Order: sequence, then structure tokens, then C-alpha cells
Amino acid sequence: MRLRRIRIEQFRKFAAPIEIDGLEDGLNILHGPNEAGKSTIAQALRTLFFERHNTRGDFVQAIAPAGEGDAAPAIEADFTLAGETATVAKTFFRKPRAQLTIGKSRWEGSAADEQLAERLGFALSGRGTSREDTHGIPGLLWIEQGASVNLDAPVAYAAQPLEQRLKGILGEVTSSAGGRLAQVLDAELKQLTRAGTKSPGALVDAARRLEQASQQQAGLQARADDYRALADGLARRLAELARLENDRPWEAYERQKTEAEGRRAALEPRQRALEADRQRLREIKARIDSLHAQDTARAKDLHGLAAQRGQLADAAVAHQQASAALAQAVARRTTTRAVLHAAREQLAAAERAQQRAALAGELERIRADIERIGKILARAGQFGQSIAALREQAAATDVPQADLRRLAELDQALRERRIQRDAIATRISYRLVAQQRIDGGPLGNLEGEGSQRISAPVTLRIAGVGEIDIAPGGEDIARLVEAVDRLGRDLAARCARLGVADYADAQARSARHQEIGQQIALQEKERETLLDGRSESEWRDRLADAQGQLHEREARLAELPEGGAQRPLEQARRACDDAERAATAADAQHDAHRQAVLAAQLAREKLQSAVDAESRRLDSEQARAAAAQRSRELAEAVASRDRLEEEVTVATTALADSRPELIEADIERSKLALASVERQRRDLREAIGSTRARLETLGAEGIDEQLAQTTATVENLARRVAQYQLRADALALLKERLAVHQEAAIQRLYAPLRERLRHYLEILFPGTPLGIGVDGLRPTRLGRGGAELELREHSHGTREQLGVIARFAYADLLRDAGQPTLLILDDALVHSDADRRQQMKRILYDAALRHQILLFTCHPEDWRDAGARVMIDVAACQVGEA
Amino acid sequence: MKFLHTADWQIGRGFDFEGDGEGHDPAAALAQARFDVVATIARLASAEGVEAVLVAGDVFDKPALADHTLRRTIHAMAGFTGRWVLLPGNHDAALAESVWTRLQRLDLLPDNVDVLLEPGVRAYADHGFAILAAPLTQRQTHEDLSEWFDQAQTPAGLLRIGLAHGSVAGVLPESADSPNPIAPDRASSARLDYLALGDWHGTRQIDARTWYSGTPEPERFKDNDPGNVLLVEIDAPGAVPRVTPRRVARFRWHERSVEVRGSADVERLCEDLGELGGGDVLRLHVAGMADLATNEQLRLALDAARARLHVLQADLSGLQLEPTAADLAALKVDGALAEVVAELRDLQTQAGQAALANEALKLLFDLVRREGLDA
Repeated sequence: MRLRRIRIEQFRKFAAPIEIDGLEDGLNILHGPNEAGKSTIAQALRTLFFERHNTRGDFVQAIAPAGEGDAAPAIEADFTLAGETATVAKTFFRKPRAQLTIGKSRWEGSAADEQLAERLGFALSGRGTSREDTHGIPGLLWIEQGASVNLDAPVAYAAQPLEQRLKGILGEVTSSAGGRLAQVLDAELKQLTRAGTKSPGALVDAARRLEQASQQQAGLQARADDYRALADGLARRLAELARLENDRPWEAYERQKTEAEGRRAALEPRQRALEADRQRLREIKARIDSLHAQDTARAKDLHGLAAQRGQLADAAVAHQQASAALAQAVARRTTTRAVLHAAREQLAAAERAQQRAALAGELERIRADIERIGKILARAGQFGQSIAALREQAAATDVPQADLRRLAELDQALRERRIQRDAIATRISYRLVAQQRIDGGPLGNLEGEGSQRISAPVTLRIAGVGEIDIAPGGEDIARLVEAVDRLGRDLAARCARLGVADYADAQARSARHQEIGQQIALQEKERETLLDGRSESEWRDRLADAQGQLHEREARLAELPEGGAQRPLEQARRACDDAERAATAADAQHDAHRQAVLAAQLAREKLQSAVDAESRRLDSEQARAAAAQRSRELAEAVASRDRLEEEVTVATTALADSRPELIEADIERSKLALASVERQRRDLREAIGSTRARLETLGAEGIDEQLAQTTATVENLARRVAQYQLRADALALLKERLAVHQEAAIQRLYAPLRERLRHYLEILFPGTPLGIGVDGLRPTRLGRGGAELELREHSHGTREQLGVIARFAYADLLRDAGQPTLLILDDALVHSDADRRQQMKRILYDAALRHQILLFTCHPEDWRDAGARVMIDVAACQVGEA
Repeated sequence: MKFLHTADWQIGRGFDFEGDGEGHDPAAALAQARFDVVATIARLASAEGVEAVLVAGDVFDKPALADHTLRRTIHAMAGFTGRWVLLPGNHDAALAESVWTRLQRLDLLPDNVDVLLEPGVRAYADHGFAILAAPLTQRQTHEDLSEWFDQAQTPAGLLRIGLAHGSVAGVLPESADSPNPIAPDRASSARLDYLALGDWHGTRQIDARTWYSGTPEPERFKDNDPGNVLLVEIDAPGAVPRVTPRRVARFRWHERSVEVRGSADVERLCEDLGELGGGDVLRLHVAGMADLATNEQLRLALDAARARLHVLQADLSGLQLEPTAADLAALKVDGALAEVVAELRDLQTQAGQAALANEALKLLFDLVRREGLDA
């Protein structure tokens, strides 16, 4: 790709159009002071290519010239692409428009946007402004201001289009199945070799079971071997026993024994006589020893008796001394006891005086109490009588409230009915001539002038005239008359029952009753206050108590005799205590002396009886005679001993010539041989029996069968383990070889990239051996002179240079793959020192032989000798100024 | 006179065939077959109306068998109530303590069963024969225990029948240094009418009067005609015996080797396997080379046969997996994976590495296919 011309209008700081024309192949340097708009040009190029023409939103603020809200930014560029002339023009916002021609082909609108993306290897964002991760290859090759250090992200964003476009020269970067197979192999291998007890791998499990089965087999094999050894041992013992039973060696030993025993029997009488003499000699020697011992004992006892007599005399003296001391102690004790008695008398008198004073005080208090309680009880009695009188009055005036209410109702009803009756009664007025009368029946004889109310039919008889019946109007009058009568009767009856004249009288009595009730309440309250919450009988009990106490105290006082106290109580008590202590001390002293006298007496008596007994035993006539008798007996015994010793010596020598010990040895040897041969037979029989028993037990277990089964199990397991082992080995082999080959393949794939990187690095670091690590399409390690470092461990300047170089390398690869390349370096090498810049100029020159490179800088003098064909001052590009 | 000659029952022999974990336990069935064949012999003896059944040693495989095993053996013999004559062999020698003493102690031997624990002549006048027995009283001996037969006298008019267990010197293969030797001309030197031998597990005639009956139920992969008992008929003392082998075995054991070069070989193997069934125990060695398709075809064939045969032990260690270019392409084996395959194929040709490489290749293809990595 070769950019020829750019025209920018109403874009950011370029409100006025700017056009950069005459761009050439190779290196083009666009320079200008800071703020001249170099980066804006780079930005415009990005906008032209990366943004959809109809993008809206925040984008407007980002690219519109300051303060021109209705701007219509327009960018166009002429370039060549794959040898064809191309033009692209986009206008944003106001009248969105896009137009692309390549050779004779032409696209409008979104088709133009998409065609550009497809040709240059980036993606269009779905909506809104483009993002870095969609910028693809141009995003990598067009370095934004000062961003050449950043390599990882741009390479990652460009990876997909890069791989796609470089397939022809790099081949498939990843093997189709290798990666996943490695995981599968790993999983399969784990299935076999996983350790642990819960769910071990098949190989581990089988090996473990083989181990167990082998141990079991070894155990069974050992038992089977035991079994065979036992069977062999049994056969051997059976043979040995059979040989013994056949040879019968015990018969010869029996004969030897019998013959020796005959010889021993012949010697026996002489041996017995000698033995009897020896026995007698031993007895005589013992008797001699015994007599010597008795003499020695008697001499020792006599000596002891003399010593005891001396001790007895000492003991008598000690006894007399102790008795004298005791007599003194008795005298002291009598004196102290008399003193103690006097002191106790004094103390008792003092205590009595004390008690009399206390009793007198109490008597005074109790008498006062009795007087007070007497007064309270008298007042309470008066209240009682008054209240009883009032209660009688209250009973006499009591009218129950229900009766009173009923009387009031009846009285009221009677009044009402009477008024009604009078209102509707028939009125008869008459004026009779004098002397004339009318018999009015119930009305009496009517004469003269008057009037009557009638409420019941009346017959008037006029003598000589006849009768006139008068019936008062209607039935009501009759009912009312009847009601008045009934009510009147009822009222009268009730009043009579209550003992009152009428309702008014009843009211007056009720009022009087209430008045009396209030008087009773007042008096009861007063009485209660007087009694202080207690009942009257309680007060009487208290009175009786007090009187009882009074009598008891008086009696006690009478009993206490007066006088005799010489000292106050405390003093008397101290004197008594002192006397007690003195008496106790004297008692103790007395007891000690009495004990001493008893002990001395006892010792004396004991010694006396011992001396008496020993004197009787040793000094008696009988004892002296016995001692003389023993001396004679001793002399006789010594003579007998000497004689017998001589005889025994002679007999012993005679017997020894016959060698009886050899005869005994012969017998003993025969017996031993017999016992040995018998033991051998018995042992053999026992061993045979026990071996048979063990064989029977073992045999019944069927050890050989168990062993055969276990052996089969071991063989099966061994086969299985071998299979699993082979499988595990095969899996491990596959895993290892696959890893090796995959790594090799990856290294091969990256070889061209590495080669291009090396090409530039050799210019940057001339004469230094270089190591370059590549992973995932990007350089990761760089080594110079042996020490290889991760990329990020290098200095910022070096990383900046490597960033530029890496992009050149990608560009080379893309070019080889027939893909368009355009490199833009916006202040890309600002951290490089002069030496490195010199080397980078060589690199730039070299790369520019193959690619068009736009280098934006504010230091054109630094780069003038980099081989630029074109140097454009951005500031001079305003349209119309040129 | 007619009798059955058998030997080498080897009761109690164990087998190491693995079960399928689903109830089929071939080893147990093979052990059971040894009891079954005794019952079969008893039935045959009854059916043929023979005078006796002579068992020339190795009735039992081991000295220490479970009581239960002894009881089952005696029970299996119950089908023939005539005379049984049993001889201790090297596996069940008449030692001081042996299966025989145990049988006596347990009082398991019925009256019609004789065990000849000591060398000597036993006359069976009722049956018309006398047995010259050479029992083994130790496991191994280097003397010919039948030597005394030459001088032994037997009642006149009875057939002289020798009963011995060992290897006929210089006649049997691999018998040069064998213990328990027996002179090849014993029958004639001892004027025997018949010499019934045990120890060799195949049926084999030594001379007109000397036979090995072989084991009645085979127990190893050795194709020497096992699985028979001999029906022996002798008209009179001195007459030449008529010997007829009668098959009694339940199982046949085979050991075969096949060379696979392609699909056709597998098809032929399928046909061969098709002739076998539940009574067959087969050990199959497969050698040669197979591409993936052939390998799969072989696997299916073996799976099918395994389900049908009593036992199929397949040894594929000699078979080399040779994937074709088409195989590799079909499985999308490319890049690093293809290099690994190439390396493994190279390894297949190296001594000591072939099995590992073969296994690795198989695993590789199985896993690629199973995990769908070829999709």
C-alpha cells in the first residue's frame, strides 16, 4: 500500500482544509513543531479507515473542530493497493458519505467501509466508534504517538487476521487435534495412575490388589510348604519308631541293671552294721555338746543374779525420795483448795446482788403496762355499750329498701288512678225542694242542694215517683274504680306489714335508720383506733400475761437473800479465776508426784521378785547336786566316743575295698539308658500323634486348593497389571512425544518471524550473538551475548526499538504474503539515545526499501539522514497557503 | 474280561482364566468338569458292564485338598457300583499323610473302591484278574517301581494286569530325565496281559499290551489327544487285548497361531472360529500386521468369538498396527500428531519397543476416534 495524498477538512484542529500531497514510496518524514497537527493527521488517517462513515454520538465531539457544532468533517486519501490506484473519501455527521474506488471498482456507503476493512485486515465495530481490539493489522503497524513500547495488545488484536494472511508462509499455527489430544491423554493416564484409596486409578488399584493377593499367596505357599514338611517329618518319625520297635535296645539295658543290682545286694548287711555304729557315734557327740552347754549357762546365770541384787538396793532409795516429794505436794493442794472455796462464795454473793437490781427494774415496767391496758379495756367497754344501744335503735327503724321502693311505686300508681277516675266520673248535681228527698242508695239520701260524683251505677228512688238508674259513662270508669280499690288495698296491706301508717311514715323511718347506721360506724372506728388493731380479748390476754409476769418476778425477788457481797461482780470473778488456776496447778503437781511414787514402787517390787526367783533356782541344794551329776556324765561320754571312733574307722576301710560306688554307677547307667530309650519312643509317639493332628487340621482346610485359587488370582492380576502398565507406558510415551513434536512444530511455525526479527536486531546490535524467543506470534525474550531476558526486563528505550522492529518484521512477512503494508511511526523513537538512533536509522532505511513509512517528528534534523525521500512541513500544508 | 483304563483325573486342578464379571466363570466350570467326567466314566462303565475301572495314578492333583473336594469325587464315582482300583501317582503319592489317609480317616471309601497304597499283588479272583500295583510312596523316585513285576507270582488262571504311574523311559518326548521311570518292555518282561499306565496326559499306545489312557478331561493346551478312557477287552490270559479309546471329555483345548496380513486373513480366522463353540478353550496367537480397518474387523471377530467360546485367550502381541495413509487422512492425523505416528511406527520395528509402540498407536487412534478429534 502506498499513500499518495491526504486531504482533511473540518477535523479537530483543522477547521480549514489541509492537504498533504506528494507522498512517496519508502520513508516520508512529516515534521512540524509541537501543536502543528502531526498527530491530528495520524488521527485523521485512523478515522478515515477505521470508522464507519455514519458513526455518530460522542464521536462528534472527538473529531469536530472546537466550537463548530454543525461541522461536517471530511477526509479523503489517494493510495495504491496491490498495484491499483485507489481513492477513499468519507464525510461524517452532517451528510454521511463514503466512497471508495480501487482501479475500476467503486463502492459507496457501508460497502466502502467494509471493503476497506476486508482489504487492510481489520474489523468494523458493530455500532459506535471503533475500538482498539478491532483495529487488526493497521492497529499494529500504525504506531500511535509514543506507543511503540506496547506490543502485546496490538499483536493480540491483530492475531486473527495475521494468522489468516500469513497461513501461506507460516502454515497452520496450531495442529488440528494435538492440543485437545494432550488433555485426553492426560485424563486417560490419570484414570490409570491416580493415587489415593477412595477411587484409585485402575493400574494403582490392580497393583495394590496384586500385592495383597501375592501376600496371601506367599502365606498359603508357606502353609502348603509347612504341610509337606510336616508330612515328610511324619514319615521320618514313623520309620524311626519302626526301627526302634524292631531293634528293641531296652532289653540289653534291663539285663545289665539286674546283674549289678545282684552284686549290690551281697554287700548290704555289712553296710547296715557300719551305718548303725556311725549313728551311735553321732548321738554321743551330741550329748557331750549338750552337757558343755549346760555348764556354761549356769555360770552365766550366777553372774547375772549378783548384778540384779545391786540394782534392787538402788530402787529402794529412789522409792523413798519420791514418797517424801508426794507428801509436800498434798499439803500445797489443801491450801489452794481453801482459797478457791472462799473466792467462789464471794462470786455467788456478787451475782445475787446483780440479779435483785435487774428484777426490781422489770417489776416497775410490768406494773406500768398493767395500768395502761386496764384503761384501754375500760374505754372499749363504754364504746361497746353505746354501739349496742345504737344497734337496737337501728333494728327498730329498719325498712328494707325493696319494700320502700315498692311502696313508692304503689303510692304513685294510686294517685294517678284516682286523678283519672275523678276526671271521668259522672257528676250529679241536684237541687231539691225542701223536705223532699231522694233515696240515693249508696249515695245516701239526697236533700237540698249538692253534687255527687259517681263512678258506679246508682239507682235513685224517688218516693212516689219511681226509680232512676244512672250508669256512669263507658266501661273505663268501672275499670279505674276497680284499679283504685285494688291499689288502695295493696298499699294498706304493705304498710300494715311494715308497721307504718303510710308511705310518708315509711320514708321518715328509713331516714332515721341511716342516721343511726352512721353513728355506729363512727363509734366502731374510734374503738378500733383505741384497740390498735387488736381484739379486746387479745388485750385481756396481754393483761393476764403482765399480771402473771408480775407475780413470777415478785416470787423470784423474795427468794433472793439480801446482802453478803463484799466486792463488785467483776472483781469477784477475776479473784475466783485466779484461785481456780492455782488449784488446777496444785492438782497436776500432786498427780505427777503420785505417779512417780507408784512407778518407783513397781520397779522395786519387780526387781525384788526377780532376785527371789533366781536365788531359788541357782542357789538351791538341788541345783548344786545336778551340776555335779552333769560333770560325771560328761567324763563317761568322752570315753565312749573315743572307743566307737576307732571301731568305725576299721569297718569303713574294710568296706571300701569292695568298690560299692562302681556297682551303684553301673545300675544308674543302665537306668539312664532305659529311661532315654523310653523317652525316645514316647517322644516319637507324641510327635507322630501331634503331627497327624496338625496334618489333619491343615489337610481339612484344603490349603493346596486355596493356593491354586490364589495363584490363579495372582496370575490374572499380574496379567491385568501388565496390561494397565503397558497402557500407562503407552499413554506416557504418547503424551511426551506429542508435547515434543508440538513444541517443535510451533518453533518451526515461528521461524520466518524469528528470521525477520533477527535481520533487524543484527543491525541494531551489530556483532552480538542474539537469542530470540517467540511465542504466540510475538517476541517474548531477547538475549544478547548469552544473557537472555524477558522482553519487559529490558530498558524502555530498547523495548521501544524492539516495538518498532517487531512491526517491521510483521510488515515484511505480510509483504511476502502479498498483503498491503503501510507503517506509521508517530514519535515512535523518542527514548532512543544518539547511538541507537543511528542504528535505527539504518533499520528504517532498510525497511523503507520494502515499505512506505510515514514518520511524524518534531525533530526533523534527527532523521534527515535516515534516507527520507520526502520531508513535509505539516505547518505549511494549509490549503491556500501552499 | 472287560475293564476301563483311565488315569490322571487331576481332581482339584485350578485354572487362571478370568471371568467376565457377569456370571460366566470359565475356571470354575473347568474345575467342575473334572468331577463331571468321573461321573461320565462311571456311567460308561455301567453301560459297558465292565468288571472294573482301573485308575493309574494322579486321581487328585494335590495332597491338601478340602474334605468337600474328596467327598464330591467319591460321590461322582457312585454311578458305577463295580470294582474301582485306584493307584497313587506322583501328585497324590501314598505318603504318611496323604489324600488317601484322609479318605480313610473320613471313612469315605466305599467297599467297592480299592486304593493300592503299597506295592504288591492284589488278586481279584471273582473278576478273573490280579493287579500288580506300583504305587508311588514318595513324590519322585529314580527307580523303576515296576521292576519287581518281573519276579511276582500271581494265582494261575487270573489275568496279570500291571498298574503303574510314570514315564516310559526313552519313548515319550521330554522323558529322558524324568523321574518315576518305567522300562519300555515291562509288559513282556513281567509277562503282563496288560500294563495300565498313567502320567502322560494324552492317549498313547506304547506296545500291544502297554497304554497310557491319558487324562479324561484335558487341562492344558497340548494337542496330544487327551479326553479319552480306554475300554480294554482280553479274552483269556495271554490273549492280545483289544483297546478302544472312548471320548468322555466335555471340553476341547486348542492353541492356534494365525498370521494376519489383511482383511482376508481375518475372514478366514472368522470361519475357523465359527467351528468352535461353548465346549472349546482356545488360546490364539495373532501375528502379522493390520491397518485400522483390519484391526477393527479383528477386534469385532474376537469379541464375537469370546462370547461364544468357553474361553478365548487372544495374544495380540505379535500383531503390528500399520495404519495406512488413508487411515491417517480419515482421522485427520496431521502436523505434530502425524509426526508422533511416524515416530511410533519407527519404534514398532525396534526390538523391545514394539509392544509399547503398538499399544501407543492403538491408543492414539482409539482416543482420536472416541473423542471425536477427527471431526
